Amino acid sequence: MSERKKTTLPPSSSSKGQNPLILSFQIVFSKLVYIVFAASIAIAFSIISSIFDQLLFFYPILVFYLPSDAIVGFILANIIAVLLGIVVSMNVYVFRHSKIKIRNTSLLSASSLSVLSSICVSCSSLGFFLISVLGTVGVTVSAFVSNYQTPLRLLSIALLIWAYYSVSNKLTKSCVNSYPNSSK
Amino acid sequence: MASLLVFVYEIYASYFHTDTYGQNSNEKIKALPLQDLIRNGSPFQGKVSAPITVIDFSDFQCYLCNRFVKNTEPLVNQSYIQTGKVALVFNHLPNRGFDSMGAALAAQCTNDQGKFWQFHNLLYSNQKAIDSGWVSKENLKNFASQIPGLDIKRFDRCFDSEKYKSFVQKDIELALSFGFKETPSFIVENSNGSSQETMSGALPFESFKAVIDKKISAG
Repeated sequence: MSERKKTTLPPSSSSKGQNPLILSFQIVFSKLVYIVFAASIAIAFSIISSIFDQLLFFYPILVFYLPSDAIVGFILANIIAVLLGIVVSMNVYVFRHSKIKIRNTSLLSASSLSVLSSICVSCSSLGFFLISVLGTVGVTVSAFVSNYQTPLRLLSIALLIWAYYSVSNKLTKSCVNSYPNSSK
Repeated sequence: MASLLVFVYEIYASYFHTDTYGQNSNEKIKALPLQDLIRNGSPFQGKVSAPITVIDFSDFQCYLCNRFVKNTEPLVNQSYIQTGKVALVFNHLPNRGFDSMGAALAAQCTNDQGKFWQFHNLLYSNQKAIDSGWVSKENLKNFASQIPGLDIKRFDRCFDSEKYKSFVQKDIELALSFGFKETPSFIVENSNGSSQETMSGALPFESFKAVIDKKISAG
């Protein structure tokens, strides 16, 4: 057990028999700074989603309202926000504590997709922007992203879950790789 | 990167244009007295003598316009239109899909026979995905045939000849002159066209109440 000093695990942690998904979560979020970082990202993303979903308005008065047709989208956007906060924080942890380079393309895809789909529910302006840039192709793209907003958000959630699984593996693998007397 | 650019653009389009076209820049904005809007053929509801006019720029394929129609408009209607304080004028901004123009032309044809609002409500209550064919020519004629008292032959003549194409085009140009790219977008003004305030998005009733009450109290 003395070799464990070289790992990124906190001294109190025990990896024996624990699910790597839970273990990696415990490793990262045992530190307050990562909890604050994840919460900040989640809150920021949630606010941005609410603005683009036209649930939060600053003008002419500050008002938040949740009509019945927006409830599903709001729930999905907040799931994305929480997952995004967790995954980004875990990636930052890995960058700072591991020598292993990660290429987490799923994080990029998921966050891009979720941002784009939530923008596009209110995307007359995006549609107009796309139309002026891409012409008729822009109308098609705008309509597609608007029509498939919910599936796109579900896809974003799936990608973020994949990103979480991926970063968890990197995190626990980096621990294993640090063991000089590993059984391998 | 593309998402980021779009994000920045959306922020700009959604929020900063409100300041540009707000009360401080009235001199840049074309006056739109209620009488002129009615004379030109824009559909409206409420009393001609209403002191405040709300001009709604919408697209029948727009999901957020439907949200406004279902959630906000009934409350505005009950509190301000029925009480004679506000007249609501509909202007076309068909920019959500290829079929949007057809829906706008059909709706304007029903206005010829005083049936615009029935057609308007019928389309919004049957709204489907953008460009999925739900407002194809055939379906629009079907919707029109469901309006009690509408002369369908007269409607077909109007719709088939695209009688209101230039009318709708003028509405689009008017919307663009106010910087509206998003639907729904609104102008709230005194009925003589003065003191215009622009708003964009499917705003809740509280937002309209704030602007309308302020205008009413300002006299």
